[in-house]
Amino acid sequence: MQTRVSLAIADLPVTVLDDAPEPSEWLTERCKAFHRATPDRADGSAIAIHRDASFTLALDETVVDLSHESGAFSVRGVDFHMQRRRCGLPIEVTAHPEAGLAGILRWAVGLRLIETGGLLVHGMAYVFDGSGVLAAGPSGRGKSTLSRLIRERVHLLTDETAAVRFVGEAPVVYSTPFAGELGLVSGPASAMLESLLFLSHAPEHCFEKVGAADATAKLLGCVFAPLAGGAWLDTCLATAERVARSVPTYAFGFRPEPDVWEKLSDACHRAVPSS
Amino acid sequence: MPATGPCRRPEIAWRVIDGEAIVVNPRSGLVYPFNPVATRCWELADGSRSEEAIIDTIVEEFDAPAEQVRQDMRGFFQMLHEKGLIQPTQGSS
Repeated sequence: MQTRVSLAIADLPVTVLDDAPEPSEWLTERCKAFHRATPDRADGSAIAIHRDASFTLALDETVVDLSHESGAFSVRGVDFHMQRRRCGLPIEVTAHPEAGLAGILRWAVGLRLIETGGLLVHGMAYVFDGSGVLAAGPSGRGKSTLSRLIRERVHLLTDETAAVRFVGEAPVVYSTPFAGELGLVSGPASAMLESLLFLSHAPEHCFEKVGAADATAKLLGCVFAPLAGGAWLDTCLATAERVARSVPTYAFGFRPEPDVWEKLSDACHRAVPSS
Repeated sequence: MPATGPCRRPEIAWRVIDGEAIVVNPRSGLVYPFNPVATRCWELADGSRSEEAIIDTIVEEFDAPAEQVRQDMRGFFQMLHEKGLIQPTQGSS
């Protein structure tokens, strides 16, 4: 029996066709808020997953082969192999029966975001007073900690993985179903991106303005997936620069104390009451 | 025609932003932000100039002690080689 679920992630339609014997709990429950009514067709939004018990697990690193000219790509992960023959065709996946759907979808969404001028970013994101803030950082930089410290004061979009896309000339930050340690999935939500922060732990809270070049480099370091070559990489670079030039960008070092919100609100939301 | 001097590898992605190059090695996924001097050096490393010719140009263009620039640039080229960002020049081992 095949599971067929249509999602919208960062306004991208994603139709999951998975022939696993049991529907993924992550897909049917954790992602429920991202489900959408679907046209009954398998177009470029489709990700067709064939579970194969004889799939050989890879022991080495993920291997990515991208050829943006035709939109073709291939990703060989530990427990899946994903490919698309050209832009507009479904993404075809052969996967081990136990392969997690979130990991597969994160690759697919990451790649499709890049080709549509967006980025999937390792970062926590929130909305306060209508303004979106993306605090990006690789593992260990404090995304979950910051999320935990400010979640009562803001609308948290994600504690782990945010999407950024442009609507016209304006950057918009989106929630995604790819949750982190807190397991928070806010449901589909978005806001105009007003500030981009690069997180780190520090003995004292500190904000420092970051120039466009440095911000572009830092953002690239937080993009989920492939700095793997070809025109995809050029597109990634161009989008990262576009984001970095669109909003104020700061390095934000913080210590894990409740007063972090005062510092954040001073820097990003100007004279917002602290209680 | 084979390169006669340091030459950027074709697979390396890069972009100059406000005078500073952001260089990405797709093999490693690593991102290298360059300062303006390194950026100029990188731009000149198209295979048509020797390492010494590039260093001479940098010395001319930037107002800095020549010996210090030469020493820094040699170290920079060494790093570019080690990180796989430029290809070996003709005749080098």
